[in-house]
Amino acid sequence: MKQFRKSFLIYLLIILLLPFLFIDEYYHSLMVITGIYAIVAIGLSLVVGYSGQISIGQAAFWGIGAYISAILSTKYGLSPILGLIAATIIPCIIAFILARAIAGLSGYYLAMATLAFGYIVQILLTEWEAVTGGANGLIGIPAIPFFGESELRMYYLVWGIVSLVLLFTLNLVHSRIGRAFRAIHKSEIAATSMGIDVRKFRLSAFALGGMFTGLSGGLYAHYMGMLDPQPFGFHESIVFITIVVVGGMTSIWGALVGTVFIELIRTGLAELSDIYPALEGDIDTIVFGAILILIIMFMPEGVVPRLQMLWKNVQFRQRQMKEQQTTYSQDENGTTYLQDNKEGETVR
Amino acid sequence: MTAALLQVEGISMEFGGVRAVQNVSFSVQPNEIVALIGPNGAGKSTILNMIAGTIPPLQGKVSFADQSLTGVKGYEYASLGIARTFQNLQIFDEMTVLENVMIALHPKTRTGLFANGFKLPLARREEKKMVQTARKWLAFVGLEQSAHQLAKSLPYGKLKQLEIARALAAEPKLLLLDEPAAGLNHSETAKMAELLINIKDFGTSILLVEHDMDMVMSIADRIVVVDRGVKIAEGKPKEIQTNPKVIAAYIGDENEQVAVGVSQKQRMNHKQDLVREKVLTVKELTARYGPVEVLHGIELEVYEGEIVSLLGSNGAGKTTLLNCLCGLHTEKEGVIQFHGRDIHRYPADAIVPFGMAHVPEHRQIFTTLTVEDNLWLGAAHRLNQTSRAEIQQEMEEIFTLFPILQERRTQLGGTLSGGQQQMLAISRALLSRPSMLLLDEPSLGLAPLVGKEILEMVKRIRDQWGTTVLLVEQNAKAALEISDRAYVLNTGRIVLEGTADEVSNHPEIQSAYLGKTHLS
Amino acid sequence: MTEFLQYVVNGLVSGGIYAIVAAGFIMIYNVSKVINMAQGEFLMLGGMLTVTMLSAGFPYVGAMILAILLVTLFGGLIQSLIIGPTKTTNPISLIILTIGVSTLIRGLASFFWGKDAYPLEPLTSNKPIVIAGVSIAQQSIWVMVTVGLVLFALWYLNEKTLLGKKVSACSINQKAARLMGINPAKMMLLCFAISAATGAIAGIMIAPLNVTSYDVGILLGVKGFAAVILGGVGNPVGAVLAGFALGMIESLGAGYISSGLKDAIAFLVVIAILLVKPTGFFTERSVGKGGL
Repeated sequence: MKQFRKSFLIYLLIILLLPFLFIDEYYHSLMVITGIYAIVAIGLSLVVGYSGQISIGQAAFWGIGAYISAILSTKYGLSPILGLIAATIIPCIIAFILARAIAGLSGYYLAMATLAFGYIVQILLTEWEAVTGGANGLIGIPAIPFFGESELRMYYLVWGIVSLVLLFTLNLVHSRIGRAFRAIHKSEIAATSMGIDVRKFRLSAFALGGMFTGLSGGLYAHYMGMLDPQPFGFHESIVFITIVVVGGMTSIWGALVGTVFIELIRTGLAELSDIYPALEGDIDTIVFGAILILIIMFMPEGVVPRLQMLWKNVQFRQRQMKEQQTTYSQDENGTTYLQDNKEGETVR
Repeated sequence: MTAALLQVEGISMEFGGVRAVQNVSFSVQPNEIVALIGPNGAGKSTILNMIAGTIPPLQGKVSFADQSLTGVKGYEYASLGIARTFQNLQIFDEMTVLENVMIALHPKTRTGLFANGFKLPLARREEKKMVQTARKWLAFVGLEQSAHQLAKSLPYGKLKQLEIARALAAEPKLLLLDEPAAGLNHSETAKMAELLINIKDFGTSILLVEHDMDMVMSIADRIVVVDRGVKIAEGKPKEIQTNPKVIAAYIGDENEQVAVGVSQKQRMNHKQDLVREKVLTVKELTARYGPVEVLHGIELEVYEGEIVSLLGSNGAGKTTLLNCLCGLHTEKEGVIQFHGRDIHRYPADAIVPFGMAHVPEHRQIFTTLTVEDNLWLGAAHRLNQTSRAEIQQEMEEIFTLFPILQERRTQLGGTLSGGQQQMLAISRALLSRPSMLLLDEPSLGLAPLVGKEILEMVKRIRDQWGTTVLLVEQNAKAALEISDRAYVLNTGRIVLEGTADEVSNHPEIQSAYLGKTHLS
Repeated sequence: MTEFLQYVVNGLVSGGIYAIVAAGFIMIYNVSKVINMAQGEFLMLGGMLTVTMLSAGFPYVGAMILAILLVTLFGGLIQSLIIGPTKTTNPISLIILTIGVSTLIRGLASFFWGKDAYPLEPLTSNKPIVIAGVSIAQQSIWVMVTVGLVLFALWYLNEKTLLGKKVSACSINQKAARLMGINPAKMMLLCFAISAATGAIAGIMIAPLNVTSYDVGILLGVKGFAAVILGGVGNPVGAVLAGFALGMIESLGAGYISSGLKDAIAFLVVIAILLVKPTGFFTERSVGKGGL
């Protein structure tokens, strides 16, 4: 309850001040993109980490959200704000329907269904030229009024939304809902015996994840100003999963940390291949693959949970040392004394 | 006439063609503690699971407070008033003790996703109430001090109390407990017994599955005994302890006394022929499952050509001991010397070529492979030293011992009856030409006559080939009949050892199975 | 009518490949419970390495054999260095691990070979054979022959050899298998190697029908995975049949509806089947415990 308040305030402070530490517009645009990905990551972390459902087709909801907002504001002249609202609601509904339909699935079957769904959506986006502009996509997507006028304003909009999403999710996770999720995670059978309807929870998580991802897609569309189907496929779904896995599937803060980490790597690699053109294109696939492998092999719980565990160990060790300041000692006759280190008193 | 709280009528369950539970009926009244007991493999957990809604009964009906439970979804049981604990402790260890209990209050809350996400006042109020209620239940079981500790930091005994607090928080009218005393020491068991009586006085009925006979006899109002899936007795504790059918189910048939005289003589003759090489030495063996220590300082020895029995009631640690010896169970410390070689660090597949073959509990044959395939697999590890023709020859010898296997050699293992599968499992083990054979409950789940037949086979195998045998059996009398020596285990310790005659005539043996409060 | 037959033939060819990929999945899954999402990459590597060997001057058959050996070795390394040592048993983590392996392999492939498409000449000539108006590329016949041989060899290994029985034992009941002196880790390594080998063979056979490039593996792997799911996870016969079925559905969809949408149609059918039968068309191979 009060646990995350401090962290959240620190986070808010960082968010508010960051653009003033890195003034160049280039950095601002990086941070906007990071924020957009963060929204997806937080939603996905609920789906994968908290309700244990493997979704390797999340980019589909991203694409649906992006295209809906784009189409509504270009072809139908609606305000981008309305577009964003639609981008939030419609993917949520689709996610709910999909989850409902595949509610009977679990494990690998569920993974397959999300994978198949991801492919279907991307192919539809590519082939349905009349609506989506096909492989060439859409252009001329209007920017969001007021905020779209500068990178800095977009930054605050996006990260404002990230903060709201983050706060909502943190509240949720620290409430009885979050407890129920964690219970389901540890032991479905015990959770059921205590009255938790596992299916309903999984459905809600999936719908919520779809909702956040759709919203992010809408923001993406209006930020980029143009769209094509390429970023809404398997590759991006893997990037999303990588973010969540690296940050820590079971941690909401992990989603944030993972996003920053991956975006830094991506940017860094892009810079690197500018300097060494030979690395162009392939290097980030290699690096992502390696990261996924190394994380699962050595830190499957993710970076943030591992750090939390280390921190707890440090605290535990400190407490142990304090308790051990009373020691025993023996004199020549073999009688043992209780010796208090601090005062040097001996007490029998 | 008070209506029964829980009415179980004719429930049955089948697993892979085998009837695990057959037509079991009993009831639990309000304010009553009923214990469900029976030897290993009797079907007790299956019955409990059917009542708890984890698996639906194949036949029959379970009614609670006059309402049929057929078709009720698993998560609805809690709000109906049925709560349960689990044999293997399904505690949420990454959450605090308090949070574990708060989850049980779930059915009583109303606020949903959005109320909690936006931290609306209603959600905040509900949360506060949950904290208070949860604390109350922690106090009832005596755990209030540990409220904010992570569940996984608690010792095993306290975790058992936590599971009960969690179940109580749902304010059930019926509490289903699966082995509440498992893994607890003497004083913890006494505290548990006290707690359960308090719960009953508080107004909740309890149905428990339990192996600790002392505790069962002291707190149960009524006891239901099942054996091989069928109810064989029901009544008050004193009645059950003296019920001959119950005693037979646990220890073996009284009528087998007659045969003992004959085989005694045979045994005496055999002993003089034995060459006393020590095949197996076990010193200071302790084993654990995670944080729980299940074997404490076991010491035993087995000499060449002996048949040694390991006896004791459920939960005594017999299977764990065998699994430690053959290398399947690795969380252990101590010395295990086989033919002079210390094998305690070797994995199971490395120990097999040394000459130890293990026929595991429940036989574990490869059901989707043929009988012949199963047998060849037994000999598989010898193929680099022995020719196929020789192994073929050995198979023929085994077929003379178990002709039914030859008849069914091309049939899938899963189509064999229980007794035939046991013969297959033993033959498979024999084909690895072991110097020592470990047998884990060979007569489990088999009709008494078939079980005895199997044990006779084991004796013949020893007589014919000189194979040393270490035998774990619940049917103590039948096992002692064919054994030279025996060890009796109780809660992970050896409490009795000696020659078969000494052990079978020892007055303590019955209480090792049925609890100390019985009158002989 | 000839149109229909043409589609059927095409469907058999691609279906056969999916069947081999699916068989590779199943082999690894049954013995280790890991779904190897990198399966498709073995096919890609088979084709690409053959191209490289050919341009290095090896004769066709020699290049093929070398490529197969290299991929087999590679598969073995993946099992012993990456998958074997991984301690986690969470299916989500495992599937992500193998996705990582697949991604890494693809990245390395695009690094060494670039993103270009490479043509691989067919085993015999380019001239198609025409039967009853249906045009069949000679390589397609090679593909079908290979599919038949590989599936037969796998069946033979599984049903008729003691080694196959040992592997089956591991997948039925690992503890009991240990008690037979069988080392599960060795069996897993073997299965991975065989999976890699059969994948490479399939990849070399099918490469000449299209072009081969660094990313042909993904879709092949995904479709093979779909076949495994449809057939009921763990069921080898189901997976093979589902592979052929998937090839047919795809081919008919491409022919009668739209070739751009063929993958979408195939995936739609997959989802539809999963909705109706949440555990796949055939039953997951259930293995009792040999007792109670």
